[in-house]
Amino acid sequence: MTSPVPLRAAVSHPAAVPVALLAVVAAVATSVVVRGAAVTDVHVTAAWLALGAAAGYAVSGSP
Amino acid sequence: MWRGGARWWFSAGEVIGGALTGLVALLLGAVLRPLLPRPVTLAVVAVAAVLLAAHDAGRLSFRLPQNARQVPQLVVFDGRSGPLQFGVEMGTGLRTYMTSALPHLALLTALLLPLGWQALVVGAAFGAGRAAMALTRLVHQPPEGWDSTYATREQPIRAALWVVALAAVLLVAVAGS
Repeated sequence: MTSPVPLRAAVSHPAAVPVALLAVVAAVATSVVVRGAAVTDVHVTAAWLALGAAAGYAVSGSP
Repeated sequence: MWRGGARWWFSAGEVIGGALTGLVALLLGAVLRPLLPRPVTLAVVAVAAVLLAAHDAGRLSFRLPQNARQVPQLVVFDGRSGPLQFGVEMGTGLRTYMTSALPHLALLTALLLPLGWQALVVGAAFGAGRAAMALTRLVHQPPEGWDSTYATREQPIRAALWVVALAAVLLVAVAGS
């Protein structure tokens, strides 16, 4: 049985959110650029989500 | 300092506050966009992205519009309305200093490039991003260790966030063309 501690450490690492956001934009870029898929609302919404979340995360100063 | 479910009310408030800013961007953008040809809006966003990235990288120094107020070092949260209200204030991005120029790029992009409701998405995501930082810090054991880990990896983290933002802006620009 796997200990929950490594998972907790991974998701609470300060780089966890940036890495997840990189994965989102990489998935969108792979779909559109590499596979040549048409840009859909899902792609664009994912891009907007990533932009907003990156901007929010970049602003430190949580209480 | 958090008590009970205050962290969740604060986080919900941040998402609501971000969505409110997104709503303002949506309304202002609806007035601005018809006045500006598409190539102009694309050029403005592109130039702003370069300047703001250079600003965050320490290559350019200029003052960004922001509310130059500090929040107290220690805030004790309890109940619902207090954390929710403070979360809304913080989520708007207008309550205190911005330690990065990324929110300015996000706001400008939300003003000039979205197709309607997407300005709300980027605003709510801004609040969620802010909440994510607070929540991951609270989950971290010990929470104080989060700060030292962040401090040692701040540069690559900020660089990764800029890569995400620039890629997202590029995709949004291409999608609307």
